[in-house]
Amino acid sequence: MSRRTVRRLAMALLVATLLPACTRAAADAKVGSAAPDFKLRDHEGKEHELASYRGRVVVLEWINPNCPFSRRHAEEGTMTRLAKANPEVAWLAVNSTAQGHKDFLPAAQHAAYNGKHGIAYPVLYDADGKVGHAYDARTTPHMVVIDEQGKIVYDGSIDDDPYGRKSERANYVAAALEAHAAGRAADPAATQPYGCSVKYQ
Amino acid sequence: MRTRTRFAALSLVAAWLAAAHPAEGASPWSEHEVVAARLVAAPLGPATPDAAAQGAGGQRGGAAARELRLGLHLRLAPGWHVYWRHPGDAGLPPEVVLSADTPLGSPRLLFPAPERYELRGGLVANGYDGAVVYPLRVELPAGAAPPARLTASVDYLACEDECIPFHDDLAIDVGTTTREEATLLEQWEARVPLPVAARPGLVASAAWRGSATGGELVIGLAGASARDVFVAPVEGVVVGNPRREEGAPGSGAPTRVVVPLEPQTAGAMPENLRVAWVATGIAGAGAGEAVEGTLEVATAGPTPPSDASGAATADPAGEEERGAAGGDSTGPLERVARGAALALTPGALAALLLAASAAGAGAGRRLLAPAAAGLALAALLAGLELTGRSAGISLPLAEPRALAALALPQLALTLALWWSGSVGLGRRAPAWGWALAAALLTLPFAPALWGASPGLSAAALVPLAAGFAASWLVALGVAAAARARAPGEGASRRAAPWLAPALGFLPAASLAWICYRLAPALPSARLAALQVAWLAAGLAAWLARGARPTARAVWWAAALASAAASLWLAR
Repeated sequence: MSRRTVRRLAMALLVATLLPACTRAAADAKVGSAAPDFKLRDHEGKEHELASYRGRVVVLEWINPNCPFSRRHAEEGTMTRLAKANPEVAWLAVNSTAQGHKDFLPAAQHAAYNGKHGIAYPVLYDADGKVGHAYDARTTPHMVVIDEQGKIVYDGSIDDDPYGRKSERANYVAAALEAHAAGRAADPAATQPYGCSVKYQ
Repeated sequence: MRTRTRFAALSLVAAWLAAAHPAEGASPWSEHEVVAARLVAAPLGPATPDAAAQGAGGQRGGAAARELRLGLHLRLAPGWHVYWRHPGDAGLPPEVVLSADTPLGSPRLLFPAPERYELRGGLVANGYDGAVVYPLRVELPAGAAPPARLTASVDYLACEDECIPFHDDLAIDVGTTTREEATLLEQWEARVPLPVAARPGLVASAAWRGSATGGELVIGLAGASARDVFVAPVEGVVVGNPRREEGAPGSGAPTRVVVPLEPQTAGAMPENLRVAWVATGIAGAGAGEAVEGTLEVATAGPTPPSDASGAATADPAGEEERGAAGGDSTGPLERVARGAALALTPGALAALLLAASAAGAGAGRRLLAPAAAGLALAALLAGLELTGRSAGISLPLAEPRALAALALPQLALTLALWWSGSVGLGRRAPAWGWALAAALLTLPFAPALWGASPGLSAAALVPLAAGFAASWLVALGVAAAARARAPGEGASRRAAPWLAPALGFLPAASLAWICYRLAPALPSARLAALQVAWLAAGLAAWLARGARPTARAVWWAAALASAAASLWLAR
């Protein structure tokens, strides 16, 4: 390869490095857009692909058993009661805690936690955080409701009571499922999630 | 013992008891492992009159004649923090519910100027560490007597890496306070941001650069440099974390920050945005050195004026009509001068001097190269900015990845000048090579020299390019004329050995400047790793000196690895 060719390739490479910097990052998943597909293993080792749930409503719940907010909802059965009341909906919990973090729960401990709190739905391990980042999950808990066509219809918090002090709470996930079943858009369709930060790597 | 002596003894005992147990306005501390909480109070009476409330939540209301001034005082263990009213990516601000034996108005919880904390995964939190007093104002209904005792039910969240929510029930005897607690409360009240109008000479502006699918809000603060800028959530919009483009803290230079915004739902951005912001570390803004304000921005069409001191907000659409660049009202002549200044940026200057050293007598045809360099710079920038704008792509020259990428030609030129002794761009260099090299070497400096937020147009770029090309033509023309009168080739050749290494310091200075620009945007550990990647490339280049193909291959491999690492580290 001649020196001229090498120089030209080097120049082209330098220009090519500029191109990614000139484009905006791809938009994160948001209400109204297609839910990013993923393939993750649950705490029992079984693989789950979002695309395989096409035709069913899917609820994604970001959890961290060591987060007081996530644990409070597990103890109060907020989502487990809703899951039982909506058996046609596919419930998937996602744990994006990095493997080296002290909050990371190995499969056996997660199974024990699930059993203690009656969590009958799979908990998917997302230790490298790719799925969490794809959905812009920043807190635990963080909820996403996806319709049968794979479109996000709700994104945000579980309810309007971060500190758990209200005698009556508005459960946004329940409201979104009700609205979708009635053929209406969720209102609100997006809320500010609350909780602990996701323990990404 | 005589009566007088007994009386004196009893008085002494009473005085000792009083000193040991002074009347306290503060509630007792509620202690937890990582945080302690209590209420403090100021003497009852008319509060100091403040400016009318504006901006992010009406923090500084006009104080009523009868208003209780309280404070929620939190003391935190090292490494733990609590939250601002807008906590960031995670976290919760405190909630306070008051009750008393007499009627009370609704309490107003005020928030002092916050700090920013980096969390794992690129998340950020806004809040306070060490200790904080959240001022609390409670209006007393007209004619109502102040309560003797007041109880606060307080919820707050303290986080380190883990988070712990706390609940405390605190009680305080109103009307009794120590000077120490009153002073403490006053100090933290002073840290609550003032309306921007209270800081003379500070002008806030905002401009939108993007499209209906999202983009960036550029907030400018002229008249002061801010340590940090915080933006409140905007309804219907996902607000990213602010990124500083101009004005290092403490530099005195105007501050410009960029805030990524995207619609919360798939679809278009709201046409009009009302953005509440807080800037901290503003010199001359009072004890707390924080100001707040609200800006209105149109994401499509002309932008209404900003709220500060009557100054006009940047108006991208209007500026295109006027031929100005991004909020900058300079004329064409000043832009020509700025274009000429681009040739003096370190990397471009090194290339210019190399071109001058290679220019010889009768080099008229080669003078086309610098002219092509100027036009190529204009074409590159205009093409990327103008054609990309409609697709929502904006030239992010100050983005970390862009800066890291633009550092690579600076690094390559530095290493080539220092280690190889020859750039390989000499008399045989084609015009496009000089044009591309000059464009790449000047790009990192372009925003600083353009002096304002980008809102580029062809009318703005042409004078910049003309100034750049003119400076090169003049410099190379002078060099060619001087070479034509030189004693001979021998003298010119003797100058070459010291010229190349000396010129290497110029693009090296460019690298240092790029590090300075990256410092606010990257975690320090990643910035250090980026510099190590550059040093590793330099070491590889030094080891690869010589003509052996293997050594050259090692250098190229190291260079490519350094380039990839730089872009990854600057994510």
